[in-house]
Amino acid sequence: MGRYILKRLIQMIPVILGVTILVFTIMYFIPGDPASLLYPEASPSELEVARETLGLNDPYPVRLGRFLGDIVLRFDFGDSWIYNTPVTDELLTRLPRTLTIAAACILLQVFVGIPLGVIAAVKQDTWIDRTAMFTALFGISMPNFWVALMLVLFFSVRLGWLPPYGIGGPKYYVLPVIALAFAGIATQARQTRSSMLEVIRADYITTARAKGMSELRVIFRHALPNALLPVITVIGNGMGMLLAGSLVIEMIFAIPGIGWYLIGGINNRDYAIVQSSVIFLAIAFALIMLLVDLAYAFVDPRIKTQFASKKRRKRHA
Amino acid sequence: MRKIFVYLLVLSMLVVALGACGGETAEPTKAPAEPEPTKAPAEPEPTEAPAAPEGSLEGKKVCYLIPTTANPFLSGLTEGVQEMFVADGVEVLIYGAEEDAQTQFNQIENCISQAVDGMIVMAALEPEGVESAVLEAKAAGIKVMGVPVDEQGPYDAIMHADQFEIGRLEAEMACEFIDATFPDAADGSVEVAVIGTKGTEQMKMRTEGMETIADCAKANLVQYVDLPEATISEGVTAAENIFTAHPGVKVILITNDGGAQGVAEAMRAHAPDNLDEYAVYAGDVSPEAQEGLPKCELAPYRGAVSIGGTLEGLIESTYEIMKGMIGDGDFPAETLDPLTTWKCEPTAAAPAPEEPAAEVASEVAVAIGADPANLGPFVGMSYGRINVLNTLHTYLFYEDPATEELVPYIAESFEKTGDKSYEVTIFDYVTDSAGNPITAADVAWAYTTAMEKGVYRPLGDVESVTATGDYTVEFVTKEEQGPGGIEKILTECPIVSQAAYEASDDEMATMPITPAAYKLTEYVPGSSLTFERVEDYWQTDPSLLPEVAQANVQKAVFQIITEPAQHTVALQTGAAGVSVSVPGSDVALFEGDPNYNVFQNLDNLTQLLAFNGTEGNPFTSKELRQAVAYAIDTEAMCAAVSPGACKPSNAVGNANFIGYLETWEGEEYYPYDLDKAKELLAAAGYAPGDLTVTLLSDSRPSTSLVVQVIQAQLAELGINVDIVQVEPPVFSGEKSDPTKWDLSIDAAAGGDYIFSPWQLMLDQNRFEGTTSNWFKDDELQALMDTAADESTFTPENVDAAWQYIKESVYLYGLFSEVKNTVADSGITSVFHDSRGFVLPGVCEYAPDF
Repeated sequence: MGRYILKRLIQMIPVILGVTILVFTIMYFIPGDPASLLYPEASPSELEVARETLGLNDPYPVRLGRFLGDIVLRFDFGDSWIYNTPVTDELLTRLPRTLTIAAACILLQVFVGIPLGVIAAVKQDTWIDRTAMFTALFGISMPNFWVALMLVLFFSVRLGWLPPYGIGGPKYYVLPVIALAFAGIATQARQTRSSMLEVIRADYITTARAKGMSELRVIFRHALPNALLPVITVIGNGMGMLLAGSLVIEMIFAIPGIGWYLIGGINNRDYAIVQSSVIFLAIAFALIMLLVDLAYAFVDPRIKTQFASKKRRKRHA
Repeated sequence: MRKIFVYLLVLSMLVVALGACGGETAEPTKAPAEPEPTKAPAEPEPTEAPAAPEGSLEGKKVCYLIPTTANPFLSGLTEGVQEMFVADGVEVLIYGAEEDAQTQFNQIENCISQAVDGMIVMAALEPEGVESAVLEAKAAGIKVMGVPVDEQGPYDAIMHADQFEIGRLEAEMACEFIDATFPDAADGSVEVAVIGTKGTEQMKMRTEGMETIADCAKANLVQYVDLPEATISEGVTAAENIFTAHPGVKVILITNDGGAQGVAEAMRAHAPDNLDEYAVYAGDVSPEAQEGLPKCELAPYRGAVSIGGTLEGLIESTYEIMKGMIGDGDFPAETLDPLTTWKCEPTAAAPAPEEPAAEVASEVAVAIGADPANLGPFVGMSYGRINVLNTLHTYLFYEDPATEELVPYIAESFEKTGDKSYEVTIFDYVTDSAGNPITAADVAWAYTTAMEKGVYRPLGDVESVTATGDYTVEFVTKEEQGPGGIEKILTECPIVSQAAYEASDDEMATMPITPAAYKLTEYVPGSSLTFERVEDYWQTDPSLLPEVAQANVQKAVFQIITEPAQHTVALQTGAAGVSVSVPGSDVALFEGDPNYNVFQNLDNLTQLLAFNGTEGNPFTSKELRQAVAYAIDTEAMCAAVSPGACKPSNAVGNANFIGYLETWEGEEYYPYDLDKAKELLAAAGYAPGDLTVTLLSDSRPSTSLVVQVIQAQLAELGINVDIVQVEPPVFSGEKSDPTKWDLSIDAAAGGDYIFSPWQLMLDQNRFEGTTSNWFKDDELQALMDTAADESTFTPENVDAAWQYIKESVYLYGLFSEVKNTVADSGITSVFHDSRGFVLPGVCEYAPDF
């Protein structure tokens, strides 16, 4: 298992490098002049000086080489032009906020979405199933910015229970997390229901029931673990999407996270912010995918056995 | 609008019998002229109700037709009349047309077919349309009573009010106020404005009555504004515009109560320190105003005229008239409603509460719409930065937006020492919040650094800045400065200590140390900025402390909220005390709410349409440019883009700029005229459908609406428009490429003088021999140069330049947005800097805030 993890980590290097070069190239060719955004009142000659100072007049290979050199040799992602501060510092300040939202969303999806899906599958075609699936459909259909504003109107404006925006203690994260998790819970519930329905029709489930096992034991001991593989995939993808896709929620709730930082960078053609944020997200996504693969092994003994057999095969050889 | 007026009038009418029953509150002054009702001819028309014994009303029927049953006042009235007739055995059938004229017409027909005995038609939805039905009813022997609005109509009896008299009474109250408040004023010296409307006959009469204020000896009627729909927000906007054009206006007369509330709000913002010199009068009155006016609680809203009296009185009047009509035939043919004035007596007014000394409040949260990002002193301007600029940084001088004069700040004075040189003397005891002294060397260094970085356009006119002593600095400019030139230079560059700047790791990007009255204690990028009052501020002489450097709150937290809807929520939940970014559509939520104050001010930016003047482009044709200008309805555009928060342009630039001429407000600026546009299109040599042009704009949502409106309106003219929208960062590059567009949406301000936006867009010295949109016009340049020269900056020369710009229409001004500031009512006075942003330190706070 250790070797597998190491191998996967090594495989991540070309992926991250590819992402780095790709995002740099996109930003290089994207229209828009950072100098004119930084100095909106400058004359054409002053702008030319600014472009020279910022290194914007250098050819593509020179800029790419400089960029890669800074990252690889000095782990320096550069300074933001609009904030005039090191991007790495700012990312590290903002990352925990985005991670908090994403992680809380995943927990909510797991602890609400999966049980909802299991119940819907077990009670297939009953009112419980229909209610659960209608709720899930509703959750998927509602855009999260709308859900967010409705939550704010109800819980902040009408009831006054929760702060409508900002950062602070855990209560500041309640509404953003619910708003962002809404669709995820629904997706999770539908996926779990679908997987469970396939599994509970399998012969081994019939066998388990024939052996006289209680229904709860059949569901949680035999059916659910076997239905979890696609569910874990959804969770992994969801985590990646949440990291990159929380920007709308961050903007609505005025939470200075990675998503908002990235959008600000794009709008201001702040190359350092965009490139660094994307690289950070790529690394995070790759790590999450690794965790997902490890989770497969955890829930599915066959995959675990594969790792073990490879090891054994090598030892025997 | 017609329906709204109908309601207003009906509501007023239905309060008719006030005179009979007297007012409920206070002691209203009776109108001087209370005409006797005219009696109907003695001989009643025979009725066709044979069932009842003579003189008895038993078994008779009356139809009561009202525009809608949804209006509680109308419902109360009709039900009241119905109840009174029950005792007589008369059945009253109430019909609400629910705003549909055809329905109302059919209801009259139904009543005729039911052979009712009497009919009350209240505020016919289409007065002329129901005329035939009324005549038919009369022919059928039905007695018809009308409460007409625009037309008297063929009714047997009518109830109405003397609209001219209403307006005249307003003017009379205003004149009394002027005489009492300005006893020593010369004749014609007190400026007055009238906000009326002449869209309907009745309102026209009321407005004409209001205009009799011109007969008041000391009054000088300087402006008339036509405002068909005088809501609170429209009242605020109209008054703001009046104050912009005529800052000296003291008294405003307006058609109705809602508008008067808005005007009062604008007056409070305009002159918070001397409100007792201001007054607004209205032509009708709400119950709240009836209560508050006599007690002078609504100042500067000081008086209003109401028609009639209470609802009970009106019910009784209506009952009596109709009873006579269907009974013994004794009823007045015309009932002229008594008028009642409700006013705060200038002499009897409670002494104006003493202005409390500005108290230092503990904390205020200001919601702003963007992150300032880099807070350093030498950084280009951005929307986020402007929000905190004057709280964070200090300048040599501050330009007072009211007087447009330089007020000493870090500098004590300046004098012109040569054609291109000036000497500035700074105070010798300036320190920043860390205790670093600010000397002439720091000033020279700050200006030189800013010039090197090229971040402030006016500094491009500076040749050198040199310290000539410890506290004296010499400024040398490249050219002799025109009006406002040196003022702009001396108010543009933030001053910080060189030592503090160089000690900073990030050029003060995150934690600047400045000589301001507040020091930044925390900046969480993307979230908030916290400022604390500097307790040992260097300027200890209050007489030398500029208004902008006041510190009336201990702690000010700027909350960065990019989602506009959350600004509304922030105020509603109390999370923020004031916001300058409340969406226009949400402002109505706060208007009229005693917990909030709403302020509106016109943005300096003029949104405009630029034409491409490169050789071969169709828009080198003046006729075509004019055709486009005539085909664009800027009123409709405002309604679509920013309802309630937008003013159509009268020029490129607006009344915020020095040198803007009031006469332009009354001049035509390509009013929407499709026929004329089509003529000009033909004169330019194009048939409808011939021309397809490219319209370039940035992709912000508000701009998207503008281009869509233009596309639709030019389609009416016969010009096809291809819209090209690009991200804001790309737009600046694209608009400088003449091959990319024919029309472009842009915006201009550029300085404090009216010629500033013209120069920004049209100065051919700035753009290598052409205007920014590639027109070459020596005459234009000469006219602009003359208007912008200090020795020839006269209204005549400014007007000459503008008339040429208007005629040549290289640019077409579309509109200026109106910024909405909403504040908690605990903030008793909100201070805006010259860019229209709130300075929390200069605001004033209630003791319990």
